[in-house]
Amino acid sequence: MRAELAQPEMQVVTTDVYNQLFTMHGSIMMFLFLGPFAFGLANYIVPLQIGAPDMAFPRLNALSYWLYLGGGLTMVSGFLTAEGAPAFGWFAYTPLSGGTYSPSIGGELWLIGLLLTGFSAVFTAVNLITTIVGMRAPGMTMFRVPIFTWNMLVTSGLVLMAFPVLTAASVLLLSDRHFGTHVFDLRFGGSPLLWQHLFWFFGHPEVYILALPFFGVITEVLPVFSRRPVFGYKGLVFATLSIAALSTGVWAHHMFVTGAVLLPFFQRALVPDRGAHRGEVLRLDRHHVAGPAAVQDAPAVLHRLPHHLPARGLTGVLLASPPVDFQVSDSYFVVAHMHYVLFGGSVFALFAGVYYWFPKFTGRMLGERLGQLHVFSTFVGFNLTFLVQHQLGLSGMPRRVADYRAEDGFTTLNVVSSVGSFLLGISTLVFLVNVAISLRRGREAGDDPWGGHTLEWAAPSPPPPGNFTCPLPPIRSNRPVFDAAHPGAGAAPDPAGARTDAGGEAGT
Amino acid sequence: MTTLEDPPVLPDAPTEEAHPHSGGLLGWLTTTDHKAIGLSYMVSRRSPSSSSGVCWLW
Repeated sequence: MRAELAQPEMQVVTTDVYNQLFTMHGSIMMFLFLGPFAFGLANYIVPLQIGAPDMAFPRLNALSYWLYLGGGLTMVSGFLTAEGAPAFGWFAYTPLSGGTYSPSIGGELWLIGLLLTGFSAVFTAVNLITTIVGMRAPGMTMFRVPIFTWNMLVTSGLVLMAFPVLTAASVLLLSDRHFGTHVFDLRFGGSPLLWQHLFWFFGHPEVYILALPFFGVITEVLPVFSRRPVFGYKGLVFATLSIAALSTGVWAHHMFVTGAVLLPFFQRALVPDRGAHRGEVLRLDRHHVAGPAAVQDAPAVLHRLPHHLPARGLTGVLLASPPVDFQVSDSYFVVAHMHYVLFGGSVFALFAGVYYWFPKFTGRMLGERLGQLHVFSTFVGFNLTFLVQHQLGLSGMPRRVADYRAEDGFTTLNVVSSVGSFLLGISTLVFLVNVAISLRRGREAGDDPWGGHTLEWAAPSPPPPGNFTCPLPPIRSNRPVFDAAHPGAGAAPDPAGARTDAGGEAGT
Repeated sequence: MTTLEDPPVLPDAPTEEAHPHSGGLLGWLTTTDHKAIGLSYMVSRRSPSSSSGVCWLW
């Protein structure tokens, strides 16, 4: 896609193929990449963090994975058909996604893939909630649960709220395409706008489904390397709960330009939503600002990540204002905003999580030099690619176009953006090479290479079936492994509010 | 009620049925171990992207 846009009036692919590419790019990133990665990470880490031997429903867990894989492959298999993949965008607005304008079999495959991955997400959410609520080790009260696990609990709740709506909408659209119903067909009394309502009732929480797990990752990583307890544990928990609750009531801000939503209500409803989000970001940033110098062997990604925390979502505050939204809607400004949220926030945190937990997964450390190279090239490539897209949008370049003219004045910034995207591609190769080398020749990690806080660091690396070979340390705060390793340091402040003096009660 | 004097806790070991020890492809296809499934999610998250590219080239 960036090759196509690198120069004006250059044709690397046809317009139709470009439309298919951006549709499948969005679909893969939104439905098949960040969310499933978060669920994979949670699958591995959550039982370890709460001292459980496995998930509550292991067979349902396996079914969820196979539904995800089958659904994902079904979704992308449209490329194998004669008409190609669907070209109606990842949001599949009707009537464009209906049978009249998108009759190809690729559309059906996309919708069926969406259904399968939706069921996968719901099953995994049920499994995670049951595991976290019912399988915590004795002594681990809810306010001693690690923040990553807390965030996965909240994310799972959001999945149960949002995904069934999308699943139902997908069934209705399939029904319109195949069985002659007219739910979204204006000619027969249906409503194309209903699809947008249903889709964004899923879509806005989906942004947080893709963000909250990685907020949890950052909240695990930063305190360990700043050598201090989680700052404002309870505040973070309540901010996360607030974000989740508020995110279900602001879907129509994605529909300002339809002219069919109550602007003042949804504009004002976004204020507390953005406020809770900003509060969480600032709490996390405090670890970076107030902490002592990071230890030498801290993953390099940590030094770069916090720079994106204040920036992520900041443009979302602007887009919450209808006058600004009217001006930049459907421009590259929105593309830049979305990528700053999901790449600048979630993908950087995803890499932080991989660097942090790779020793637990494999028993080996990732290489430091290649890690530095990877993070530096990702940082530069990311900003080259997406920072300039804000200006492209403000200059009037529309999104979802395969071409532009030289006299439009978009050429220079598009060249910069394309160069940045190629650098991003190279940086990902560096990461994969690092993983491949480290799996074979990486330094032995031991059970707890970082001086970690939470229970996964009490398990061998990699953990055996059943996870723990030694008795768990007593759980008297939200960082039991640190407490056990530093008995003279005193227990961390217990967010559960329990007394920690000898003989006192430590909560129920 | 949990007190500071709680004895250390060792989680129950999973049953043999829950974690068949067959390796290789069959082991991957039939595993119910949360760690193997978690890693499968994280690794195969790339398979839709990769297969998408392959399908398009096809």
